[in-house]
Amino acid sequence: MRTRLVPYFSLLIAATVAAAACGPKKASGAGAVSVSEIDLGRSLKPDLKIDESTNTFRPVDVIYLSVETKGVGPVTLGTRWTYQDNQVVNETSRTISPNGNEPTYTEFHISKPEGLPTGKYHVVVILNGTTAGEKDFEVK
Amino acid sequence: MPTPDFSNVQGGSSSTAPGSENNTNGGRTYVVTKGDSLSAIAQREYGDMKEWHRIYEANRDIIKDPDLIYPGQTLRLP
Repeated sequence: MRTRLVPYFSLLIAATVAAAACGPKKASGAGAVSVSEIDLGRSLKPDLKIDESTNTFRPVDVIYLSVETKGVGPVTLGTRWTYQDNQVVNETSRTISPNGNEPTYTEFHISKPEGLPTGKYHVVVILNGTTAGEKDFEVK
Repeated sequence: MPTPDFSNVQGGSSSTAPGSENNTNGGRTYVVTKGDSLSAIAQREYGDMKEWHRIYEANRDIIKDPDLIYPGQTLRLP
């Protein structure tokens, strides 16, 4: 009988190791950067959040888009602003390297010296080449 | 109705994120998305797909093969 104790003991150890491997894994830090919120408005707070959200603007306004991101970079974050039937108004991008400790805010803005044409606009937020959010707004 | 002129639109950005760097450098840029090609971008931006070589020449430092561009690449538009 004693000779059978070794295989049983080995099985017990193997089962314990397997069970531990299937349990919850410790977080290995924040994940890849993702866009958690986007917001439009006419002005920004010092932390680059939108001061007062709106989707309607006047031609003379500076239009701000604030993008909240979470996770660890670096990533390329950009915007593509289009007018009515997809006419490109502006494209801007920047590289950011958040460290994952807290949400980060990146603002993009457009304006036109003689005023933006009235009509419907669309802005797409692009994260590493993939659409990560979008908003419609109107200038009137 | 004539097409509006957006050539003098002023755009910009800033960020609270560390290591933040503006890629625009004052000129227009284009961020490549899935399915893009230089000729498709030239068609969209200049109205003529034959103008693809202008984009290629302006980005020779990051485009090794004009048939291979990748999502996320930021191209300068001359």
